[in-house]
Amino acid sequence: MWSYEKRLQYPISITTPNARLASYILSQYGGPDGELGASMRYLSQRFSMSNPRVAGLLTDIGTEELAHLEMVGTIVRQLTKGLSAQELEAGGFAPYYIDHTAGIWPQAAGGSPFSASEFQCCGDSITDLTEDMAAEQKARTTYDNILRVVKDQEVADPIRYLRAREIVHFQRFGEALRLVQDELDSKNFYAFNKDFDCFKN
Amino acid sequence: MNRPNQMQPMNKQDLYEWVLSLGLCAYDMLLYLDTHPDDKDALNYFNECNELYQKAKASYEERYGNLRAFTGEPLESWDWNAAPMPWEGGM
Repeated sequence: MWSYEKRLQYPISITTPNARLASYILSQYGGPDGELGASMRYLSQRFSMSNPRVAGLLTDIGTEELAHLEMVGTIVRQLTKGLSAQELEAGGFAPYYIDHTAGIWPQAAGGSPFSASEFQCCGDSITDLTEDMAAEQKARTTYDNILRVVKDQEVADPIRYLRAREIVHFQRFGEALRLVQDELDSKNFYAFNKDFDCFKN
Repeated sequence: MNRPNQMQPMNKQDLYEWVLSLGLCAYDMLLYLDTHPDDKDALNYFNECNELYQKAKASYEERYGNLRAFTGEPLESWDWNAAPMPWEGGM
């Protein structure tokens, strides 16, 4: 279960709204490498993760991703709050505004809605952890792309923080993969699914 | 390893950011310990960060209102959702 603390993981205070920037950053809310997909990926994969230490890590990183989802939602909220319909339209935000006004809804920068097909749960420790490492790198790349177009330091600062956390998570998933491999025959890590083929009550 | 500053700043913004800093410190150690459970130095550092984090949070809540309903103490008033939410600038 979870309990909520009314605070952000990192402070965000954006004083200049910018609808165009919001439409880019919204991708890290509900886009292909965004925080919603990240949290659902890890929180789903843990059920079949037979190593309890790694299942715990997936729970803790998945939980942190929910805090990152809240941060990205906060950035988009603060970038669009108080703008008129004309200002939103001028910032290229009109198609989103027509459907959602200034609400926060998970979609990619290109407009496609969030989809569970953006992540996998294969029920295989090695397969899933390999995906997780790639996912952290993809999110880091997306934050790098965002940072190249963000000039406002009040926006760039929390984005840099989120980027740094992707690197920490990549490191931890690499260690988790090693923990799982240590339980297996080093001559044959990939020959079978240890969570399914070796399952015993 | 750097040890966190023991002094607690008193102004609201500084105390809020102090809570966030210690929260990150403890959370980062949580992830590290998930994959390095036998590292005693890391465990000690986690304990140190977590103790400061819990104290800072209690200190913030005592002055500026609760950040949660489940504080571990009897509540004097239902105030966790009284002030603006974090995305609206609440802190």
